Amino acid sequence: MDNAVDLASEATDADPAVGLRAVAALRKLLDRLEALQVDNARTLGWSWQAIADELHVSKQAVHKKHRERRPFRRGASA
Amino acid sequence: MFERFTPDARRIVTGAVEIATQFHHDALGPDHLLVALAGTGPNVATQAMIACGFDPGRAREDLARVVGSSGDDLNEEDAAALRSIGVDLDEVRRRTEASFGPGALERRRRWYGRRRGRVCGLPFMPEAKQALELALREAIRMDQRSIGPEHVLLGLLRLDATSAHLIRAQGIDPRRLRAEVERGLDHLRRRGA
Repeated sequence: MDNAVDLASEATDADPAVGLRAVAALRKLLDRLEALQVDNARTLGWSWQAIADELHVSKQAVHKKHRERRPFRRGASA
Repeated sequence: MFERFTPDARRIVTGAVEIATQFHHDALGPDHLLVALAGTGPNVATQAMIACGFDPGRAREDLARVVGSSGDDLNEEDAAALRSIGVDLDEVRRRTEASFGPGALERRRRWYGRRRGRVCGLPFMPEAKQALELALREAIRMDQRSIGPEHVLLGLLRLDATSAHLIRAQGIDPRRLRAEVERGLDHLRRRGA
């Protein structure tokens, strides 16, 4: 915890190492939140297009990024 | 669909269910089948895997990392880094868990909603089912009455799924593994003839 406090105060020094680490952590968090939200939207029956619209990315981009984690294909024999 | 499975092949399926349950995965995938298969007693499939240098322990770890809650989970270091820019990870976690349940931020869900094709209470991913169907096809192709571990492995190798990722992650070409299995079967056949 001390470590965390040190880190937080160091950030005010605009140390690139700290700033970049924050960006990396933020990206990780972003990925998690995106996965969570995309999964939830799909569970609720949202189309890839509708999800892509909300994320302001192309349908192809969102599909490519998330289909592997979600291998279920509509219409596939199950 | 398991009537034609040999006891060993059935054990792969039950073993896969056990692994998925142990890892708290919410569905059974082809990768669970592969890891369970690697743990079965010496047979053509496991011998081929060994011959290719497949490490079952590593596959198990990779499986936990790919779909599990370890690996790139947000850790204490990330929490500190986020705090430095004013993001309270604990609060984000609290809110996501309120909406999506405990561990929502950690868990990479792999199954979403449709609750059909359960095996031992666990949803069976279409790709896992597909792998077993391909195993059946392999057995038919070889004119064999029952489906053994080698057919399951060949079925898995026909799929470009998470199971193939586990194999490739160890620098093994699935085609080579396939050739090894065929060779082992050929050897058996010749000895039997």
